[in-house]
Amino acid sequence: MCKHFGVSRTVTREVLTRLHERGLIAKSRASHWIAGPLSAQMLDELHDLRRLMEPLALRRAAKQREHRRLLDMRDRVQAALDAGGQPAPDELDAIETDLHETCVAPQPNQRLAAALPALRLSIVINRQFTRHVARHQEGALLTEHRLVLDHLIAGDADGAAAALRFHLDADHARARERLKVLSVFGGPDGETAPYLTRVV
Amino acid sequence: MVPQVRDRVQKDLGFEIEFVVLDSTQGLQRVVTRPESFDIYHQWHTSDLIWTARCIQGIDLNRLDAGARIRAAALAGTGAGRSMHTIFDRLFVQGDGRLGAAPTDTIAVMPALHGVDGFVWRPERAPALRRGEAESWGWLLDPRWAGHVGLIADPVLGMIEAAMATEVQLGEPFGDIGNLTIEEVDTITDFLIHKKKIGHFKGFWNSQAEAIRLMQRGSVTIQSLFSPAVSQLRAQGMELTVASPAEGCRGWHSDICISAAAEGDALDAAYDYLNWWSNGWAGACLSRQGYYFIFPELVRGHLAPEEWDYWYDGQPAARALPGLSGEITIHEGHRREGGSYRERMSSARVWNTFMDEHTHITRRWGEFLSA
Repeated sequence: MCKHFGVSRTVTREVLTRLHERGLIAKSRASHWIAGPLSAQMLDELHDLRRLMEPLALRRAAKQREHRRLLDMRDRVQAALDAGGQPAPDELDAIETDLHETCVAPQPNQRLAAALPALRLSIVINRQFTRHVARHQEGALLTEHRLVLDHLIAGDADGAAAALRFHLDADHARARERLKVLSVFGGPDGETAPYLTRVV
Repeated sequence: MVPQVRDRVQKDLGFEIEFVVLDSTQGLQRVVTRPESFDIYHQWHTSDLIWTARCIQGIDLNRLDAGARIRAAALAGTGAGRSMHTIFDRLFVQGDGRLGAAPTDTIAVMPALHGVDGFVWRPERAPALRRGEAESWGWLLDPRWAGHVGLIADPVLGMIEAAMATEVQLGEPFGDIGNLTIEEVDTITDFLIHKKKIGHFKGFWNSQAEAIRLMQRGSVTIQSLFSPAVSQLRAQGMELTVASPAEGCRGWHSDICISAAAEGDALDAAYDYLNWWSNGWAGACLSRQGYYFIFPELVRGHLAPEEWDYWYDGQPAARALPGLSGEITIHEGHRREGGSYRERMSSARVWNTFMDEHTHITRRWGEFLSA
């Protein structure tokens, strides 16, 4: 890693420690750093936290959002639904970013804002699923997103938070099922970074 | 697919069918990513997974000859239906697109075959057993059998069997054998690796042919085995006991699915194929190697009364009985271990399945195999 990024051992060690703190890598018995695999247990644990924190963050942030922006977000979701509910990967990414990042972004609680990104594992799984599996159907995800946006547009912060929690729970169930499908694919596709060695 | 069924279905339906064996992970990847590469898929323990991937399409019960039977069996929830809840619990496509038990007009897969697998052992080569000792999965990891144990190399099935054996050997029950946690998988694998290092296992098999060879060489005297391989070894004269383990058996079911990409003539042909299966002839044929057909009453007419009595009713064979290709696999007077259809199926304690932590299982299992 030092050679690849052209940094010192101290910096590399610091990076590894931070990744470790976030639960993204772990030490094997042979003292090697191991990345992954994603597990259902990891999804469950992150979801426990996310379903408490993200609706709270949405409620706190609600007042600061521009109405026009929300209507655009809703249009985007509606367009994806009208087109059959199978958005292309980039389009799905944009829809996820709208709700889960932009809508909670004007955030007075900085600790909350800092904690959220690491909890969004199901988005990673949905993205991989969309990329690898031929016929994904996102109708349910889109309708749930639309419901949250409708509450925000109406200025109902509590309703939006409740709808978001419902969406996160449903999305968690889907992500668990999708993770199982992804588990039949071996490792990462394409070339991996030279400092990574495949262990299985 | 066995040649007998392959030939007959093409003759009866009047069109050619290309059969491809896809039993590897690559095969499953192909099914999940390229539904246009197949019309029909005989799935073994991946139905929830392939439905999530939507590489198969819902099957209209109204187009199936067995539609009414399937609905009735799901509603009955008793007898065979109850012991097979695993098949019916997640069969029907619900309003929200997910699978559930409440009958609707659409099913994800058409149930066809099922059975229970256990392990076999050679009584004349067994170590000293305690008086009245019950057969147990624990034997697979029991020091008394050290050096003579064969194990299935596939992680999906292998982990389930290893879990049952480890439970007995370590004396602590796991929460759900059919859905092990990361911690449980680690406990099992650590124990397996320890056993492997002290030479407990004689071999690992990837196919029934390999499993048969392991036993023929004489060094493996206990291992899990599928019923067609049991029939083959018996036909060759090997004395084998199919265990009825105290902990219960590993159940499996195989269902027929239609590709999400099938439409028009291909879709009509797919329904013809499904309906051909539900007439029971193929089920009867495969019953001769120990499988059960989802509707036993439909195979009965295709079996000789002595065959029915032996394979489904648990009675001693009234005469020598043939296997699939006509060679004698069951000698007169032999009684199938585990009893009748009902008794054997109710011994299913856990069903073959991709567990939630499949990736972790594969990783640790690979570590065990290469240890």
